[in-house]
Amino acid sequence: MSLPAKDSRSLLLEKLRRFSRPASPLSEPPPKNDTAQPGRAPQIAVREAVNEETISQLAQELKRLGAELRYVAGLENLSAAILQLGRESHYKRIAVGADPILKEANLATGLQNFQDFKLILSDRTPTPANQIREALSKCQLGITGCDAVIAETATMVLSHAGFGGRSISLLPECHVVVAYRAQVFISLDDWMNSQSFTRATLPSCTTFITGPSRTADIEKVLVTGVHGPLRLVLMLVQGGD
Amino acid sequence: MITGPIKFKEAARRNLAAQDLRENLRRATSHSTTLRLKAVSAVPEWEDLRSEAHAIKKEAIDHLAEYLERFESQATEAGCKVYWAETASQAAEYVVNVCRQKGASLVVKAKSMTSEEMELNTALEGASIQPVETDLGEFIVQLAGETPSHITAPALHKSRTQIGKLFSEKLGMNFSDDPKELTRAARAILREKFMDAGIGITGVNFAVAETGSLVLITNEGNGRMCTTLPRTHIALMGIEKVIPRFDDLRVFLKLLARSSTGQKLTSYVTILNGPREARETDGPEELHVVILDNGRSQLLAHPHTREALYCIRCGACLNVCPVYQRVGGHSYGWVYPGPIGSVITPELQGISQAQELPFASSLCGHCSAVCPVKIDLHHMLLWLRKSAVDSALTSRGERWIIKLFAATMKRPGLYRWSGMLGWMVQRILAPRGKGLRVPCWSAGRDFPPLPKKSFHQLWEEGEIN
Repeated sequence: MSLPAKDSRSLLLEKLRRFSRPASPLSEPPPKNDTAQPGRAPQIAVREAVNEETISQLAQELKRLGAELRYVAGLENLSAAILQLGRESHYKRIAVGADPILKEANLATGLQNFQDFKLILSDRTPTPANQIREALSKCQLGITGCDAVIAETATMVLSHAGFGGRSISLLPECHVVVAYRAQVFISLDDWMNSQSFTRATLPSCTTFITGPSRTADIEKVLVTGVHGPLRLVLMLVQGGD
Repeated sequence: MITGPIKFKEAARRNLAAQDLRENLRRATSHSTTLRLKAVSAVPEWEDLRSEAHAIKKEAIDHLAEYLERFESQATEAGCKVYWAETASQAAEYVVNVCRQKGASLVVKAKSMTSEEMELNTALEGASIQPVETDLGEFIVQLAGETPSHITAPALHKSRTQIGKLFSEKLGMNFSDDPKELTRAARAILREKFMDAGIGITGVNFAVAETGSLVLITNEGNGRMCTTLPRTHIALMGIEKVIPRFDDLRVFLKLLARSSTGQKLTSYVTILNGPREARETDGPEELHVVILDNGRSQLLAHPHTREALYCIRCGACLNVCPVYQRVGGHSYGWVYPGPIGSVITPELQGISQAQELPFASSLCGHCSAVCPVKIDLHHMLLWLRKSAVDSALTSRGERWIIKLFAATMKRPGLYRWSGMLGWMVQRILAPRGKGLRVPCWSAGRDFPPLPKKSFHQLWEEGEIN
């Protein structure tokens, strides 16, 4: 490109230095934890079990946001819970992410056994990358795991490094997040304290999801379901500690 | 760029007379103020958070060059391409060039006030590239051929009936004034655009120097779409968006959504570190970051206005401002309306272009009281008024009246005498029991009737104790 990129850069920086006249020299940034491996895989942050009060706060907050909460007794019951959700809402087309919790539940295989569903995508269907989003956009149900669930704000933390990436939680009509009860944190601070964030450890994209997509751009009337999912369901699986 | 001096008074008078606009503004601003108050009241440590945010922003702005360089090196390390633009037109040219290079004919945009500053849509259209606004409010405003009237709720000046008519006219759908139906219609149209667009353009809420992260705060999911589907993502940020540490986000995330929409957190907070990695199946292959000055360094240069760079664009000062609530965003003549607009427009566009704006305030201070980063907005407006007076930008008549007022206030004798004089003039000129009518001034308000005896007299005569 023929633009004088360096010129505008140095001119601008020189101007900022002249105008800002810092009162004190810049202190060094806090030490970083560089021992972590690059390209953090979707990691499950597990801590001591949360109490009933936290779970009921989470439930309340989800309800307020227009999101849903379903309890699943154990990982072996996950397929059945999703089948039930699909039957209730007449969802036929489904995509399953490659998160560890979904693999552990053997979900892709489990759901294939049910005639009701057409499994559009899973990490076992070798679809070329450019067709994935077309397929995902036609899906009614996208299932993912998550890094953590924040009770105070009913926020789900997703890093999208795995199969299905950013689209699987974005394009389908309904997004189902599967999490162990032990992944619930009381507050965002609580979760952030348990992590170290450096350039090397942060994935290319992390999303905090708090409720279904929404807008109030027309007369401040709240409408859920704009560009992202119309519906958000958290399936909280007993255990994981 | 604006082409001539902003005529705030003229536009405000016109907008005050529009009854439906008054109603739309009243509904929207009172709704937002109520939700904000409720959300803020539930946080006992709110004042501490504001102070903390102010301190973090002060640190960032006092060392702006260093933090921006640090951000640049971290973001570059993560695979971003960083471009520095001194002017809005340089930035627009860069974006157009990237689009050309990629052979893109369709661009999807998430809401970005910085792109409004750049008049990017005009620049793209000039290069035969179609820009599509995807935030519902911006989509409405683009369909109507207008500009946003609010920094977080671009179409709040329109009623559902107006939007319904617009949709049936421009999109050929059956008339509906149901917000849900209108939203679903926009979803269907824009979903196709997202799938087809070669480039996604977004703003940036926070740029983290420590990690090179870009943070986007959205509700509708269009920001996620723009950073997931197109093969190239261009992020536009003003120089003031940088924050020192990743950990600082915990403070700003608590403040921003509550101040803006009364939510604890918006539906989506997206944290981006470079383009997609090799093993990923979606996300952009290239991520360009444009860092824009466009006059912001002027704010930095003046100690009195420097704090305006702390702004995180929540829109709370607009919602509570008694002037904004009545005249609406378009009266302010440029991209940023309300109290924050009245402070930054004179610096970004020149005081001679925007001399009326600092006077578009009752100086009640509500803007400063709600600001999540504690910007002393109303005192800045006062200071800008002073500089307008110092540069002889106000009318000669007004300056004489102020001089006369000052002289009277300094001399107790003259003060007492002027009170008596006022009462006598009123007796001759005003109808019985009514106040005086002062030319111009009385057009929009009543002058209270002056009593026969002043407080001083009553006090001396012992009638008050």
